[in-house]
Amino acid sequence: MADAICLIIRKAPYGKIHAAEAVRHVNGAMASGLETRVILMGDGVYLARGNQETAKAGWTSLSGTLSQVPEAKGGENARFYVHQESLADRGLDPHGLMEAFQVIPDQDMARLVAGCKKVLLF
Amino acid sequence: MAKTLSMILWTAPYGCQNTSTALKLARAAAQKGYSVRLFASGDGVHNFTNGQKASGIPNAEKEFSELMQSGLKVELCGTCLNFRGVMSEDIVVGAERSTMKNLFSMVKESDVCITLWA
Repeated sequence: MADAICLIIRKAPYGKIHAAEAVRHVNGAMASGLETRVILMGDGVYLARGNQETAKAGWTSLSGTLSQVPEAKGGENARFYVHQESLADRGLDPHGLMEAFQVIPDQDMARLVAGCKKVLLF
Repeated sequence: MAKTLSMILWTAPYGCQNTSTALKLARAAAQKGYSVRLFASGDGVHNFTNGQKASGIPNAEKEFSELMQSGLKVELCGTCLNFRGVMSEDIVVGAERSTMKNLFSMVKESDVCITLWA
């Protein structure tokens, strides 16, 4: 865990490029052999919702891309988390999220971030 | 061995204060003896194009070029350059086209890493 890198995603997908860039960098971190921890918080939690259908809008579906991440190179070294309080603030049902995501409360998130050697914010 | 500060700059030069912040941090860290590296990604690659005429605000091309001559190492996301149609001849001397793999090597090897987003 000492060499883990944490990517914190705070923006909702599609309105800004941050979430798409974050997903691209998640793949890059995994391919680089890093222990990768992805945390969604704030509006970033919307990224964890499954079945995002974007083809008609011309965007790549980030849920589609993310759902393939665990099977990608280095995927066994990646873990995915959603901030519980951010979900609750937005009235989102934790049961409607993609399978790879684990819902964690404030204190667990703090421990997770503190345990990572590097943190990238998106 | 000098400690290393790495910065990742994601924003274009004149829309917000990140470029100014990156320039100041690079100068201050170098003065403190740090080895400073910058990776420009996304719209951040526009900081390193030729022919910028900005005045009344830090001119990214001019000021980053000066810092590179003093030892600042700059790499640019190749995918982001291609995405934006920025050609190799458009890039300031000293900034190098790079890769995601190099970015994470830089992050891994640095003592301090700062992300500059909007």
